[in-house]
Amino acid sequence: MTVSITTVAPELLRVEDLAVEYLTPDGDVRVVDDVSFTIREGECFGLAGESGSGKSTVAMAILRLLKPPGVISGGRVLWRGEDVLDFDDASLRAFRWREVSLVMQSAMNALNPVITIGEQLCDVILAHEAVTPVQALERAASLLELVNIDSGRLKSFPHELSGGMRQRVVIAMALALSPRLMIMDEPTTALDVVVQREILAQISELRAKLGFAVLLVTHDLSLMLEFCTQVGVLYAGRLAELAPARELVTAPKHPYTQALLASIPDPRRAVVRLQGIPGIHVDLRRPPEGCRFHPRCPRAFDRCPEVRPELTPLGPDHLASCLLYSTPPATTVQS
Amino acid sequence: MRGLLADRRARIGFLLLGVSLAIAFIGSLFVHDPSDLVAKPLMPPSAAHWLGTTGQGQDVLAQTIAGARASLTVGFLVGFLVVAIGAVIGTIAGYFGGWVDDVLSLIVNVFLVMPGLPLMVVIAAYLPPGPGTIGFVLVLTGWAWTARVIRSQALALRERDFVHAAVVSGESHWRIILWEILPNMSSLLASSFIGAAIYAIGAEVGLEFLGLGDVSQVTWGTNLFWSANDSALVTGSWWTFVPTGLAIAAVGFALALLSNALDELGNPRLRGEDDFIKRLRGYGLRAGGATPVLRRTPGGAVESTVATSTARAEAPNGVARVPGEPGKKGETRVQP
Amino acid sequence: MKFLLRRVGFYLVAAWASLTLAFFVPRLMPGDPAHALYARFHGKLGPEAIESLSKALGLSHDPLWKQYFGYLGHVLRGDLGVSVSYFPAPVIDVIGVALGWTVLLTGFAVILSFIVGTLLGVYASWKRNGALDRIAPPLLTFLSAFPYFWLAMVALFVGGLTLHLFPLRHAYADYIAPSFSGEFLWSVAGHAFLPAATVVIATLGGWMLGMRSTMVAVMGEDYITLAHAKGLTPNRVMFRYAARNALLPNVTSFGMALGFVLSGSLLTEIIFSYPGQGYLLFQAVRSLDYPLLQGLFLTITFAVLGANFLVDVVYVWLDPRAR
Repeated sequence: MTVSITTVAPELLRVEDLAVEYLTPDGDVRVVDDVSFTIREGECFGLAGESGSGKSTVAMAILRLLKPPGVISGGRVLWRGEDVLDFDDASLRAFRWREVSLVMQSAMNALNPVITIGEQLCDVILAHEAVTPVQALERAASLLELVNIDSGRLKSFPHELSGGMRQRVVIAMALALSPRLMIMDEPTTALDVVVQREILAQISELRAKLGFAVLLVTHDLSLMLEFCTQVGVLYAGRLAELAPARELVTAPKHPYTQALLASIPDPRRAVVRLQGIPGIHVDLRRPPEGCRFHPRCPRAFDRCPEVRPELTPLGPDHLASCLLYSTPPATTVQS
Repeated sequence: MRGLLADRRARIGFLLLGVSLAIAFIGSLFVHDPSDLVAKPLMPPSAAHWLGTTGQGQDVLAQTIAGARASLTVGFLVGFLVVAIGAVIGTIAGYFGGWVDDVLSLIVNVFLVMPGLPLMVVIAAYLPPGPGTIGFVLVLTGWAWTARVIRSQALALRERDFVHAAVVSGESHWRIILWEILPNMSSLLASSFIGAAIYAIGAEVGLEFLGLGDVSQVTWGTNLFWSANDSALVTGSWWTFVPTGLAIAAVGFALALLSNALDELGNPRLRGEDDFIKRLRGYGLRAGGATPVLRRTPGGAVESTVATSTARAEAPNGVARVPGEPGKKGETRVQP
Repeated sequence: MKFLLRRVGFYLVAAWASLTLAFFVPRLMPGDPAHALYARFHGKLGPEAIESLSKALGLSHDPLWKQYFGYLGHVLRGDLGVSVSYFPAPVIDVIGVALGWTVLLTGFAVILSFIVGTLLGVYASWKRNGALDRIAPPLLTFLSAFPYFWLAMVALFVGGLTLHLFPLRHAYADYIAPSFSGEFLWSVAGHAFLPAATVVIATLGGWMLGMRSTMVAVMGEDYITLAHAKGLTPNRVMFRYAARNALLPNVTSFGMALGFVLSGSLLTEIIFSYPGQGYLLFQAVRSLDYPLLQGLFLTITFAVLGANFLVDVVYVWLDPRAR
């Protein structure tokens, strides 16, 4: 179920040329390379890619939550005009959760095992707002009701709840301060299909009610295409294509996107021949020169190993970084 | 092994240990016989006797060195036996699982929970005093810890694919244990040996201090026993116990350094994180709840602001501008 | 609860094993134990003493199994025989008072050491590679390489004999009668200071390194990342989220280390002539007071088992998953 938005919704998050590196003793590895995209109010933006493509890294970088040895080595993350990368510790703490919250992949690991659900819901409220503990507890109870969990569970510990319940608690927690953007990093991967559906339906319902934007990170393309309005496809740390979801499905431009879509089997067909993408995925310590996809690309040509493709506009809100679409000599790599 | 030597702590440990062993085994050639009565009792250190004399009039330096020989020999021998027994039992328990594991684990846990000293004392008191008795009780109380540690590792290794493959291809259990499991535990066995040696030396000294060793022999423990017996503290003759204690600590510390270095060798992630933190400090940044932002300025001109050469002070917002390698945009792989 | 019941069962098995060990060890002596005993003590002890010695060890001409159950019966009734060196005082009486002093000294020292060491470990791990993290571990490791009782000798030498800051022996000044008066309690504290400090210094390094290591492991967990994402203060993340979880394995290792720490502490008591189990042990070894030795073995072992059980209770309280 998609939320219809007007095309003039104000910008919420603008990521410009974001770069992330891991500083290891054996050398520095660039895992996110000049990624740019925009998320508007109320929008559901999806970030798709294989594992290792950098999608989770981008999501975590927005909140500056990358674990060592990760550093952000370039770009800007503009939240309503201000660069998050310039925030000091106090501003960052105020920004976190209140403006942008996070739902992580495995709810079991996302909850502190030794304190109650209630305490975990309340402490974030108390950290950001001047309310009494009693008031915080009341809000926690109503948050649980939002996700259809009995408020008696406030006294439970995480291990006493089922997997699906824990994920809903995590979602409830993400809504505690009514953020404008919720980042969801593979929120349903660890769950079975039925629960997956439930959770996503729940999120859509909440979005309709509360109007927050979502950044959905997942490798499940079909899921993403169902729930998101705008999608970005990452390959080896770079954006291959950015398009409205509908258009991505009907008219994918980048060869990688095309191959990805072709690999989704159609269960309605009688005989399904699985189509993968030939080749091995990229070793980011030694990435291919030029376009990073060219070794596996069915439409690669002579200039692909030499020239790095830029994101080229191909239509309203539709961009792709492929030399097939960019005009020759003008866009060469700066040396 | 090379990786081990790369670690500075390991090098210090090896050095210290090497020097101690050298002194212990070669040094005896250069000193008096430790049992000889060489001078007046309780004389402080002097040119003639570098570490003074004991309450009986023996040379403290000679005693310390002789004691090193005895105690180190027992310590390493017992350490070896402890690891041998512990490894055998631990591997059998971890590998075979089931009731074998239940029974062996119960025995191991019982031995683990019982405090060592009273047990050692009670047994040693009934047996004739001497290194044999000491060795026996040390092994009896020491094997259980190694067994437990090895058992966990064997349990984990058992579940690995290469073991499954060996089982399926029909290799006998004993061959699997010998050729697949034990070799993969080599660093654990090494650090267990070191731990056991540390334990053995310490426990041996303790028992002998109580008077359960052969007090006519010269060991570190008996040195301390006689020192206390001859009222070192009351007479203020600190030289009768300080050198032995320092020697014990030196060896113990050396072994501990080696043990720590070995542990980190088996856990490379730790080293990577330490290097990362050090690098950040070089830029004036701190790793913590917020990912640091490190901007590399391309172009020939070095543009340094905030935290560079002068600033050891932290950039308050975790942002530092660092001169970076001019390079193709986005293609830079910068060496630290 | 099931967890605690299982632990109780285990401790009962361990207690039984200790009792049985204590029963068989005297029979290790070559030859007929009764004869050997007589030979050893003839001329040194009167016949009643030797008699009670035999009784304490359960020696008789009954078949072995009868001796065993007789022995068990005695022990469970609190009859551990009569001490040889404190003849005719019953072993249980001799041990009783000493046990209290040991529990006071060691219990206090070990708990203090654990708390301080744990806090140091938390701070060291939070400011990785900071001053604390770089200096304290090697220093404390070096200090723990010394035998506890040697540190005690140095402490006594420096603190007592040279600087005259602390008393040299015993648990309290001889001229004060035991009571709950301030004067007495102060004297007790003063006398316990050096021995306790010795144990604390010798063991601090272990707790600190242990906590630091578990903290580092816990800080890689997702719930810590989420705690940061929630915008919680660093203090709250460090204590309520990280340390609270990192504490658990350390409580377990605290229990496992108790026996070891106690052993060191007993030897420390000797240096200070502190009237605890350690000092008694020393006396018993010197005079080959076997009933006392056996009694000490049993009481010390049971005390450690009991302490381990208490640690298990604390663990269950700390970890909701164990309930």
